[in-house]
Amino acid sequence: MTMFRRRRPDDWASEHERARVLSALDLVERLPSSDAAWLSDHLLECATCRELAAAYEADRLLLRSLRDTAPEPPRDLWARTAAAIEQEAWGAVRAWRLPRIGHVPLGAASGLLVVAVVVGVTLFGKTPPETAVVPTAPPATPGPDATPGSTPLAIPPNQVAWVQKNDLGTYDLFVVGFDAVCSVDAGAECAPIDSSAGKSVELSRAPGSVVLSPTAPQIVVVDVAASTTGGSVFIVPVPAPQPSFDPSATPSPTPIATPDPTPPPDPTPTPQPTPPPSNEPSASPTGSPDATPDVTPAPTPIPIAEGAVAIISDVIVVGDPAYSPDGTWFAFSARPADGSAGPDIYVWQSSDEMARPVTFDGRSVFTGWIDDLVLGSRAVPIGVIIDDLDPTSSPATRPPATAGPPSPGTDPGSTSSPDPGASPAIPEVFDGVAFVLDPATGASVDLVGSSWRPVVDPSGRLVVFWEGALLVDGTGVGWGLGEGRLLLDAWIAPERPQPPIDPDASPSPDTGSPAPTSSAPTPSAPASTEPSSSLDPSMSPPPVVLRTVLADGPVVDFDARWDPTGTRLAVWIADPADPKIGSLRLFVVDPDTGVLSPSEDRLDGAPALRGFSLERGRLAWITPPGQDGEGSRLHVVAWSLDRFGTIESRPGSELIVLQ
Amino acid sequence: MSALSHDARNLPFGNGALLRGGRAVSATWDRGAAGAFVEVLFGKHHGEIYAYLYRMVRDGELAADLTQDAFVKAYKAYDTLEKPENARAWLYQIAHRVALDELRRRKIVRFIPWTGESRGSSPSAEHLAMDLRLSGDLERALARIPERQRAALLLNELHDLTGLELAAALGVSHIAARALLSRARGSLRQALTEERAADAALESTTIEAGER
Repeated sequence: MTMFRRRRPDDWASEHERARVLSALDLVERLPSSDAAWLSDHLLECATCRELAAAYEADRLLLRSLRDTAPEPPRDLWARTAAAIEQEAWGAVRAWRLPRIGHVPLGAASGLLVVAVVVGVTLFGKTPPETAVVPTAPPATPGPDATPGSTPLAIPPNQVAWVQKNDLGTYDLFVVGFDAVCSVDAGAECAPIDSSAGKSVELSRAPGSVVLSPTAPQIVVVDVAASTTGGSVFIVPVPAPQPSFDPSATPSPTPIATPDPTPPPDPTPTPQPTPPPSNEPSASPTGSPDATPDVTPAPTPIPIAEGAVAIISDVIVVGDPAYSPDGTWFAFSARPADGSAGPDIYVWQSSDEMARPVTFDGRSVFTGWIDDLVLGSRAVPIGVIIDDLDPTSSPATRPPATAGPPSPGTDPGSTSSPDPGASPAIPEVFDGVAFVLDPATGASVDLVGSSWRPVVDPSGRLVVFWEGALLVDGTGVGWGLGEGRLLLDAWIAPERPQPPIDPDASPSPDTGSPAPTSSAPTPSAPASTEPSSSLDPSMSPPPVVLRTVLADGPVVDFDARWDPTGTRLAVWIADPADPKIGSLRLFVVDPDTGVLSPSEDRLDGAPALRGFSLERGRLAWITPPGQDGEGSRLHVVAWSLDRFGTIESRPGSELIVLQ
Repeated sequence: MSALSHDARNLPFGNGALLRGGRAVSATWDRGAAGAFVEVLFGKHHGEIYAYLYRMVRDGELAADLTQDAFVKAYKAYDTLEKPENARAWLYQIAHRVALDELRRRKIVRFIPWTGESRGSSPSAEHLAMDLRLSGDLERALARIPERQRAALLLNELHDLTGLELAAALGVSHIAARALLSRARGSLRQALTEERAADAALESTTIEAGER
């Protein structure tokens, strides 16, 4: 046992020891005058102590030099931390419920300004709000006409971007940051989002969809014609990051730099019709990863914006395009505008002049990314509808009469690509087969079971997908949803696709590959029963999840997205009467069990146009026009754990929220 | 089909969980405040907390994990923060404890004699690997001094915590923090001297070998 006794101020082993201690303390804080005087006198007399004091000072400078090499935290640190906090919150109190936003009176009458307008850096870098600190423009205080008692709800800085038609008939891209919303609890009325300073890019014509690059100062704009009659997909440079989100930075007076886009290709390649798809459950759509479709000279499309470069033209884009999480790849699915073939998946990266196909079967659609792997699904025929047995009963199916080994000469109209102009054909029924594909090598792995358009959460544990029949749609080369349901289930990632060792031994994309698809599919079961360590070695075992029906048929169309933490899931279901409009739900998902929160419908099915954006802490969508006699609005709900608020833009026309 | 519709049968908590009286409501409110507060705190300080932890444990991934732990602990300990203006020092205190816990755990792990070496007789493989990662005699010297002294120096010189802030972060009295810092400067001086001497000896050996 050690006994301590208090040392008196003059109780030093030696004068040199006292000098050593005081020299060190002198660097911490101002010494008492008596000690400072004594030390000064002693240092004049003692060279050793003087050297030591100088060495302490030198050490201090050396230590401070480490400030220049401060280590950078990983970019996903907040996502990880937020997920951990969410889990902690789940463990503490699980029964909380978000108020229904439909109960919130929103209008332009109040004076609560809750938006700080910020452009640039965090948008195009998609910098997490945790690095954004505080916007330069502070949230305004309630105006004189603010609703008495209404209180803006402070939230961490966030942002939203959208495109809106202006009075000149062109389209403006707005990027707006905000750090407060209207508290739903308070029932506050809020002023609309102030977008006056958020304009960033002008588009000459209507976009069909717009996607932000997570890393580069650019957006991808799908020409609206690419959704209907045939159009292009453009890479559009946007203003480079500005320091406006960094309060410590000084605004630069220099013009915004415009990145040098990929040189415009000339002529723009046009995708050629793909070979007739086979009747067999396809084949891995790998083919030759370097294969590119024949290039047919086509008129260079008119750029949709200054500096825009088309990466594909004369196509109809199917589904929703997306960047890979690291921004390296951009993927989408498209089919030739002439209707000669069904959709295939295309990828593009900044070093490419043009997008290139990575599937070649004319029936594959892109559904999302799992890290750097494309997640897609493919329609495969399983039978035809027999509805003459009992018109009141659900259609039964039988194997397709034309099912059999495919041949190059097979009429695509009689199989998976029916000719809409042909004689009344027996409707075929298709099933969805999901696959993951490495865009770098083209190698792919099929998953077992029926799953169409699966969407996997960022942690790779849960998946939302359509389980059920697919029917050829009105185009004759696409598929709609038949009987079935939208499910939430556990996801077990497959092994990472490996390219064939011997290229000569690889199967032809036209004739199929030895896909590991089981002949007796197990719904939603993965190809591998082992948790995938190849995709993410640190991935924990999948949760034990009760399959949850998110929507039961008939479903015309759906869109499901996860937030970066994997704890929020937004699902949009199209209205059968008008598929452009649907209802949007926001679920809170327990990442351990996959169980939705007690309040299964956070938004109570808010009316929304197709295409919404779900990021950490906020969900944004476009309200249908005509509500309250006004145009559409951008509607944002934002939350911070238990707190939940909302803001809206002013009404406008042809709004599109950026993904 | 095995799938169940999503209804109350799937939910682990009935609506009754919402009706635990005022306490549940209060807990929900506090959690919301805690969450929002920690999010703001993260936005302001996660970089410096990560840097501090990185320099304490000298492992980027581990530092990220510890940073996450620190903010989760801050979320859980939100009620213990009496004055919001002291949040930064409070956060450093949490991070400091997280770091010391990890370093203690690491020491325990290191005691497992899987290498067959006796402690202290020769550098462990971990030490060797660690040394390879460190750059410069300063960082090697920092790695050699006791953790609490290293923490005091880092917090004072790199993170600008002084006086009461430093004491709060270290969880000691003001006087004890001063004494710790004073000892830390002495320890660093000695470690630096030894590191430089070792460097000089190594350099001399290398030159001699080259001349031969």
